[in-house]
Amino acid sequence: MLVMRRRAGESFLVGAEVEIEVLEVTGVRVKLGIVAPDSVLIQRKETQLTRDENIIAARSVRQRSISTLLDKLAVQPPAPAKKEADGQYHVASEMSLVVDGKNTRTAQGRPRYE
Amino acid sequence: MWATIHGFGPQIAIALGMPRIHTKCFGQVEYSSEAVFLFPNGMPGFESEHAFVFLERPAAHPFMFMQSVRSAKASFILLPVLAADPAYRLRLADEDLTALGFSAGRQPRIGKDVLCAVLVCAAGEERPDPTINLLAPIVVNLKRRIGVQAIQTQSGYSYRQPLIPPERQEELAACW
Repeated sequence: MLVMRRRAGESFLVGAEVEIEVLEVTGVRVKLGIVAPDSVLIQRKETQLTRDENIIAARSVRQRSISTLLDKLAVQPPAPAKKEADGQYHVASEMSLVVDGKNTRTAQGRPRYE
Repeated sequence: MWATIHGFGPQIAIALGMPRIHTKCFGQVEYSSEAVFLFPNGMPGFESEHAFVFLERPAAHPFMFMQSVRSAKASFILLPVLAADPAYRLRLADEDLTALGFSAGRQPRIGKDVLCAVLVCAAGEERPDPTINLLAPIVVNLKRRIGVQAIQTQSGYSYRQPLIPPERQEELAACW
């Protein structure tokens, strides 16, 4: 990475057509002015990261991946079956959700051990 | 079977003559025009998608789904941000406050003024374990039915946060 020190009012060039000027420095923030041709896309890095992530997230939406997500994450696996007085193992049809940090809610889940 | 978020507006009506959406995973869904939320700026990567509906069903709780009215491909899994992180702090930039119809300077309250939910990337070929984007939550003004994807520039939140912490993953793996 090239490191350069500049003061407010000074600028630097990227290639022949892109000029970046340091306009103002206040505390931890730096205000930059950018001059570039229309063909050069200028955006915050977070916007680019979010764009890429959005596209991957949309591609991940499939029936199978949703089922896996719900099976593994939304519904807590049933607690180890308790031995009832009559000797039968019992599987609860209601399971508690683990992803809600505050409240433990219950939702109808599919029993996995029968 | 499918409806908009309970308590946040009219449910998707099941009636003749209603418009239908071709959803990516749930077939065709009828909806009422009042259930549509407007995203004036679209979302990064989906700039031309301006109208979405939210879908949920009890068995998928607390996950929800966000589906573009226009394009089946623009479909996302959502999780209310407080379910992902009960201590989540939302700091909207002035431009996002304005887009949502709030006055600059006052932050809206999650669950009262706005719905705030993170996008989930489900596990698949591209991502071995599910992740959530805490950096850029979906924020919706419930009264005006306007939404934005609000990038939390100075928050330090990750755009690729594991949905389940590693110690929970081991615990789950042991259970299954």
